[in-house]
Amino acid sequence: MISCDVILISRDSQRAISRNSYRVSGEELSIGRAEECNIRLQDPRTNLHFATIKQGEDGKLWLDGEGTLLNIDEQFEHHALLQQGNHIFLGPYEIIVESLAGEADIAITVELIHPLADEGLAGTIHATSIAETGLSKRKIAYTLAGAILFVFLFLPLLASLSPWVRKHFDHVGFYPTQLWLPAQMSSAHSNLGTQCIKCHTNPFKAVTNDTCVSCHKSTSQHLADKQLNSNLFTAKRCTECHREHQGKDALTLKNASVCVVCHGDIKAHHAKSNLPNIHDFGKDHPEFKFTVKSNLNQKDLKVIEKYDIEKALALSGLKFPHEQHIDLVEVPWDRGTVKNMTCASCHQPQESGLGFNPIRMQTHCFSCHQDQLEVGSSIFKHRVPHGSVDLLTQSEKDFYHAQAFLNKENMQWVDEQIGKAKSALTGGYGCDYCHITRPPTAEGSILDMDKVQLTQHWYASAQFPHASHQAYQCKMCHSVKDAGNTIPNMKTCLSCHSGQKKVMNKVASSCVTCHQFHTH
Amino acid sequence: MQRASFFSYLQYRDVKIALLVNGLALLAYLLFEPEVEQYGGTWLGYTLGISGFLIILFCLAYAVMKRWLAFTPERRKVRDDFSSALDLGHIQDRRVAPLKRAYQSTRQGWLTSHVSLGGSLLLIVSLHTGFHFGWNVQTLAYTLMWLVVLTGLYGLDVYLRMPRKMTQNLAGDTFQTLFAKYTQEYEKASAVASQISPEILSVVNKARLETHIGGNVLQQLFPSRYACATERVLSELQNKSADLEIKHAKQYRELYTSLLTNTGYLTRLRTDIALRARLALWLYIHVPLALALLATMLAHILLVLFYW
Repeated sequence: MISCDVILISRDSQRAISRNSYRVSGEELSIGRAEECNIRLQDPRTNLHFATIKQGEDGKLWLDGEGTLLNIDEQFEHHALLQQGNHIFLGPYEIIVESLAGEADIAITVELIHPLADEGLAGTIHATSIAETGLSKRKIAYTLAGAILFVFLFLPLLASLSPWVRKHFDHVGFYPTQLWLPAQMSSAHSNLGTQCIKCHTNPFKAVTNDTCVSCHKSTSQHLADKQLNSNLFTAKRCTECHREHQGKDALTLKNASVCVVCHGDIKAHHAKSNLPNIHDFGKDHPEFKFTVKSNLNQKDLKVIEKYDIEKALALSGLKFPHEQHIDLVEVPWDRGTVKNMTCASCHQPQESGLGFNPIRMQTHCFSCHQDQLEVGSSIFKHRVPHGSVDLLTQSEKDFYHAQAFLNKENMQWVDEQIGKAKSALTGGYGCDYCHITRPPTAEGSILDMDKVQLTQHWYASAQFPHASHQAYQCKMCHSVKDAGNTIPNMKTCLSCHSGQKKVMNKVASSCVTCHQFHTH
Repeated sequence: MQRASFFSYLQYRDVKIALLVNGLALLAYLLFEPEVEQYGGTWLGYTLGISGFLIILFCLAYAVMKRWLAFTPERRKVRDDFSSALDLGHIQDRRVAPLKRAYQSTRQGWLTSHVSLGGSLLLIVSLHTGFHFGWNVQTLAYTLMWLVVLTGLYGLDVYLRMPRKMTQNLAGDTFQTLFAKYTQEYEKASAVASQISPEILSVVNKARLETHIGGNVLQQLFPSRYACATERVLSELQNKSADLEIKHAKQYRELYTSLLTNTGYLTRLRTDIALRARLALWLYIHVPLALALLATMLAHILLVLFYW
């Protein structure tokens, strides 16, 4: 335990000395500016911990600089044995060891010999903080916020409310309301540009149906049935389905939920409807139905209730085995010549990309098949042109009448020859090779033949854009080797498409992916 | 230490809340199937937008609460007591310690909420936009929100790193004590210089007057880029040393040592200013941008209601 009498010496302006003393004790006595030091030196230039007075094993007192060089009697040392009369210079302080054998173990005087100068280098110090530079957060903030409110609120408001201001902005070519436009306008309304007021006629009020109708005066009603149309749409707002500011092509709602509102429970909305209830393509969509032509008029379509391709093909009036017309095929009238046939040999896509050009007999069939049949035996062998049954009948009659005239035979012989021609034409290599023929019902006719009606759109109620599927091979959907699956069914579509809900590795498809709004 | 204590406040309560809010928002966004597409106008879009707006208001309220905590009579007492306790060196006083804790904990609580919820805006507002952007007030608000949050996160980083650097730089001193030492050293240098020659004295005095500490924002931030008169004089003295008389060698050494010591003080003083400037400067971006964000949001909300 070391005890120490500390005598603080201070001088007034006349250099008159005054003393204050106190005693401290401890195992060690630390000297410095820090609060916990036993001997505190208040001057700010002093180190927090300057030195420590320690007692050696022999009981003598040492001053330890704790790493700092100490100036003791003008000698610089890290630690030194304290002796009476030592002058120790600690920063601006001078400490003198007055006694080592008094009442206390040691007595020291402490004097601030270099007091802080009253006038420092005030001119040297400039702004030492950002605030002192005059930069004001508040000023910057108010300026920025004010500028934003002016450009993004005041100007668009002014342009919206005042036609006079709008007119002047028109001259400048800058429309402040553009800054409010949330997204691209639909292509249908792009002509309105930034004239928000055209639709948003009343501030703080939703766009009304009257506003839509004021322009769309000639737009026909959605449903042909007036009563049904009125029941379904009178209470609705146009904007419920026709959403603006959703992009170029988004004006018509493509989500299935709008369709399902009625088609999910069709009877409740339209009691006379024969359509099934449907909620989602992936869940309860019925199997596809073919629509084939029922006569030569393209518009008259016959719906085959079930997915029955055999029946559909039979209605075409033609026998056309696809499996015999793909890959390497021998040309029938030129034995030994082989053609490599692909789907594109006959099915050429339309420019629209939606479907294919119609199959033409002259272009597609006669490029391989002969356009005439050879009938008759020995000297009466002759060629029959391709054409209608009437033309065929007349052609045969003319030929044999001419032959009868040359050979001076009677008409009975002519009838016999025509009878033979009939069986040749209706045989396996005659008309029946391609056409569906039957014995004649009309007197004098050679045969009856079904009308050829090639179906252009197998699913007339839907649209299938072939162009957007061109990355895939035809055979992925059309199986020509299996006559029953030449036209894809719903299962084929579902292998790549899901319903409205997104499914991993499948294309989400809503009603309008295939169907148009009320086209059927 | 600081990092741990900052986030561990109230057992990460605010961080947990922020993560929960973010998780819910993301889940709703992934599960919700909009009629057209995800954007601010669906019910989820409105919910996310209103949530974002409320969080922004809460974050802005921190600025108000900070002042309220500091200036309400009750709080002022806490602060004053705390300050006086600091002044008197009675920081360990049992009467003051609870007051200090009360003041700091309330403020730290607000700060933790401010940071946690502010950070969660990045996801919530992004989901609100549905990732549709354009040259409009909505995208401006979104951009400002990002800037405000990013500057805030930078500020957080600065607050966590700078104080340690400042303490290391000051090494037990304060700016005032360092400056006092610097002044004293120049006093000493002037006294020694006067013993050498009037010419040397004028060189030292000139350097003393021309040495700048602090200055404009750039001078504060990048002090090393600006010439220092004290360092210049040091090199001048080296050149003049050959002309000195031998009898002045001791004074010359003392003068050189004083000026060299002062360059050390100057470096520490300027580093302290630079660190404090970095500690403060981000707020000069963060705060104005935050107010600009509020203005942009007001415009955004008004236009939504105006063109309902």
